[in-house]
Amino acid sequence: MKWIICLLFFFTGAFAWNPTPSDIEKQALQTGFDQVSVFQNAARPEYNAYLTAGIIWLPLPSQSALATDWGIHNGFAFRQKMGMWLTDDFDGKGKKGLAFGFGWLGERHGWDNEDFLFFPNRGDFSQINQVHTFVFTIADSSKQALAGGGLQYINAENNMLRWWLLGTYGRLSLFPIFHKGDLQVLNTQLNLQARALQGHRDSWQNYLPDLEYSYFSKDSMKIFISQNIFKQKYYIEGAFWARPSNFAWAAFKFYPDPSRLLLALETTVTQKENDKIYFGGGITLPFLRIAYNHADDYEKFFKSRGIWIFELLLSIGTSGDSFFGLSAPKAASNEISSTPTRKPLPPPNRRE
Amino acid sequence: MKKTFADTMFFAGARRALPLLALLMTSCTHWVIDTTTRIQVRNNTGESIYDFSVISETEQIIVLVPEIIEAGSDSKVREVEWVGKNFNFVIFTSDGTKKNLGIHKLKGGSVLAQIDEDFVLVFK
Repeated sequence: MKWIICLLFFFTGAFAWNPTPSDIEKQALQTGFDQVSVFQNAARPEYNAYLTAGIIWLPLPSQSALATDWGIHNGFAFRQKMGMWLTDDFDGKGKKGLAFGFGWLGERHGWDNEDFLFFPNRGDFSQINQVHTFVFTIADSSKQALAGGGLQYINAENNMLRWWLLGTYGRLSLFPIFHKGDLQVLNTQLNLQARALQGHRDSWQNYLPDLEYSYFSKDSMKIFISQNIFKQKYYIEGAFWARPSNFAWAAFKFYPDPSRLLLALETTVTQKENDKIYFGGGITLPFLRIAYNHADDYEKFFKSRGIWIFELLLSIGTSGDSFFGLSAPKAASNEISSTPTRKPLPPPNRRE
Repeated sequence: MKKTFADTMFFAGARRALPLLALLMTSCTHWVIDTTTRIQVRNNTGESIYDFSVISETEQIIVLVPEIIEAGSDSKVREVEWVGKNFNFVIFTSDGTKKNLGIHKLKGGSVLAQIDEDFVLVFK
């Protein structure tokens, strides 16, 4: 056991990365975008609820030491998030008419000189952002339509309160985010891929792409493509900056179960700001994600690279009595979604 | 209801995994790893010095030991939240000139910063 800890110590020490205060400061707006984007995918007209939580745990203070003008400070980068979206039909009994929903996603992330679970130490160089997003939705599943809106509170270098709207009709969905009267983000999503979860039949339309176009400003626009290549289990995904025209990242993803609940294997290639390209990947199990150099962590965890990331992770959506992962095409089969500890009793006349 | 073999294994696994998970989640590494340095400066330079400090790349200064230290004496012990590496230390002589002590690391815990003749800094 001691040897294992020693090996872990030296290997994790060798793979270290140093976030900077500006990386942490810039993360807050990206997280704000991600949270609204999660609601866009999780709150669909036919869906009932979505539950998520995640804690990134880095064991050693040298792994994510903060690089300031004064030097390299030992400490811990962290991210803790939690949230849910519930409709008044959250038990999936199929209420008729309009379904009302309410959701909250909260995240705090940053760097602290001690590790913690609840109360950060807030030392001299600690830097902690908080981002909270609230949503209220009204859905009509017979018309495949959902409308929503909410507030977003970002507490980073400055406090900011933004408001946003959400509209989904069939395979088209879009949300704008405003700060006072200024449009800050406009995200348009065209999920052409046929999803059994949204009542589409299996056909050649399963092989249509999912497209997303994010407008931040005239000089900053992003395009995202997700393409099913085989049986909604193998996907190729890519993100590109339309302006400045540049490649951001590409990924090959394998979900052995199309519900995306049980397992995901991903390899990614990411472009850093200095035009260097690097490769990474990750495994997502129920409740645990292990990744190294993953594109998601570069984007959503302070441009981290070169370290192993362990995340306790939960992400479950429900529709009727079925379960699935975020933006999955199909629900999990009954064997998966029923718990292993409860087996139905046989009918009384067949009991021994 | 009869307990199956799978049920037994599931509960046995959960019973062992949960305390381990709980232990990891408490995030207690700061109980065994120092997150502060208790620092005492010893002046062996032969002249009186003051304000043992760290200087940034942009020449900003943060004073760690704000104190005048006479020749041959020690400063009081100060506890500072500086643990890490690549810190550039400076100190001032009595006429106000800034003396560069070079780049060092601070491992945390108790250290004695001994400044020898010709302003050579040694951590003990």
